[in-house]
Amino acid sequence: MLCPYCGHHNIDGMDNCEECLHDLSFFDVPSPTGGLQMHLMEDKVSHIPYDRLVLVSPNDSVAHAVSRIKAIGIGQAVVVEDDSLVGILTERDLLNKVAGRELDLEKLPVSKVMTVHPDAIGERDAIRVIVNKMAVGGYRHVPVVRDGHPIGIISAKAVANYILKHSGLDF
Amino acid sequence: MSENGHSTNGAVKLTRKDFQTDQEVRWCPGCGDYSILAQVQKVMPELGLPKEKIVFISGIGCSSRFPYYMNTYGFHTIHGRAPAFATGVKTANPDLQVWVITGDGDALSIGGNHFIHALRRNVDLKIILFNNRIYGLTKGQYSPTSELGKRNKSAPMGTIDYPINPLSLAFAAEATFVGRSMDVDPKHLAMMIERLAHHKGSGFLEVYQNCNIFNDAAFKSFNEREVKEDRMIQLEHGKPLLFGKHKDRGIRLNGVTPEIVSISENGGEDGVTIDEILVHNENAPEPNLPYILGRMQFPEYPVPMGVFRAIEKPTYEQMLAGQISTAIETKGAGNLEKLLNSGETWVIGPDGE
Amino acid sequence: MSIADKLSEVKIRRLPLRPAALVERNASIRETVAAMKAKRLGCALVCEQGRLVGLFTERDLLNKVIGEPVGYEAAIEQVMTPNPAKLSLDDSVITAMRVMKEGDYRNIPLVDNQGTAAGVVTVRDLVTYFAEHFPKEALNLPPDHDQTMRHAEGA
Repeated sequence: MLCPYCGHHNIDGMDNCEECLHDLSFFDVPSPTGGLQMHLMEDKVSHIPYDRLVLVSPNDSVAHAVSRIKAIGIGQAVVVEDDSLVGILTERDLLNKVAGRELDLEKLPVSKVMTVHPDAIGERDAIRVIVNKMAVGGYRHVPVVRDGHPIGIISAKAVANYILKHSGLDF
Repeated sequence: MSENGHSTNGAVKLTRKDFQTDQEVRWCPGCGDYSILAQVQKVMPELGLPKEKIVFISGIGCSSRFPYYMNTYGFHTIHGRAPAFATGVKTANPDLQVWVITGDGDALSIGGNHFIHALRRNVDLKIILFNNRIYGLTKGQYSPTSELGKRNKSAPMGTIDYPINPLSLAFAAEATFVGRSMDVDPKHLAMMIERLAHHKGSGFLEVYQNCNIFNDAAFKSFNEREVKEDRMIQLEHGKPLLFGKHKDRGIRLNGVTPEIVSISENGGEDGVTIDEILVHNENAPEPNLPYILGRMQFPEYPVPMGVFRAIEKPTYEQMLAGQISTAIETKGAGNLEKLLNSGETWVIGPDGE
Repeated sequence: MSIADKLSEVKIRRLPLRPAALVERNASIRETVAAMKAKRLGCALVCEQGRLVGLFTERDLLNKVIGEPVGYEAAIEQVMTPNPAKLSLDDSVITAMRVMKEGDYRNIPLVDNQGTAAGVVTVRDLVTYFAEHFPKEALNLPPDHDQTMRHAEGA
């Protein structure tokens, strides 16, 4: 690798440049060079607009949660207990655990259908963290928390729109 | 303890979180090992085994930090000897699912011998080899898979060692499952880990893993997202070996040498139709064809990825258990105390007599 | 080539798309839901003799079925979105992103020249495709992202 100070060609991974002895250890770790990579690594998730939050408790009925999210026109509810994130109820949970079954939604508590303790991120996490959660973790919605308390939720759609915006092709 | 109690038969269903530990994951930022860890943790819950039935055994190296990050039983053993420990664990306790996590240095340098014999014996082990073509943990010396002429800390004028192909060694060691995947294709990696998990017998998976500190971009020339389709080939059982963005190129055998040909319905440039293209067969009893595929390297050939070989034959621990039970039936259960005290024994007196 | 250029050149057919869940227009909601679960997808393509006539998504399930008076034996064509926005396998990835943004969709069915259903592209396929271009930055992160080491590790 090229020493940025003196231009000498060093072997990969050298701690110091052979020629000028400058510390090279910082240049091995991924650092943004520009464009989308810069946005991925430097921008915080708070740059992405949060979706509307509907908060329910684990003991609320599924019928209640469903009517609340339908009323606002969104597809998921965040489940909290004592202000802390304990679960998320999404359309996928409804598809997998409710649809097609003979269940009394008025009596079924949210706790039996929700995804328990979902992965969440902090508002100061970089964009790449949420991209990782979605690409590798397979999530389509990731709650944003502050001290365990949900303050927002980011959807895959919002992330895709962010990428579109910063690709310079959003027209 | 899993919090999510949903399942069909009352058993607690595990999630990815159940397999994560609270240990700080100490790999360099950007290391390919993170991706492999993520996929292993993703596949584990789907295997339906309780955590107490899974063991991860490693040797020494960056790869070998793996057991600390998996919330299952684990051993961090000595350099190169993980397959020996694993053979012991599996034969003593055949109900456990035993994984061996190793690297190109650990398995092929000091551990070469144990590697061969664990595979040869067909012990039901799942060996994942993180191949980054360098010694990472010790900061940048060349390994048995480093390319000839590579300049690095222990070869400042370039290596003069010829590298070995881990797949060729695995075939020679009679491994019954041989596969290859890479850290930058998480879906493929997850699929390969799952296949390895379900295989009964000695299983070997080579994973091309990027060490971005000491050997960055070692595989980028062919596995970068944009060139992947043209420079790599996916092996699928029963399907012809086609590659390229439009799946218009294939592999044909000319004697024992593979050739790249263009195909089209009426013969294409080389006059070749799809009927002449090699069809992959994972279950062939002899590893001759998979061996040839395993030798294909970039840039002369597209790099093959997937399951090269998957055959079944009685495993070591099955046969051992069989012999033990036969022996007990015919000769009765043994008594270790009695055995130790049988034959000629003597007591050493106070004067050393 | 910058990632922006790639997104406008690369066609949807190059993404590793998952096989779509296909149902006939008179299939029941129950069968449709089963097909979606089997394929682990959030939508089903409704067809008539192979031609795409509608789309049924999890959002339709939430808004039109769950807690609504329609039963699971009803035909899917009653609750599907008829004539959904669609693209072809040869449209570019950037086109898919724009259509998703403009229409606020998460799933876009794909058809060939004859209008035959040919698959589906989801918003997650796009995010995953994007992430694969940045393995070091986005794919290679520890399970708890707070645990990322700041410097190179070594013995």
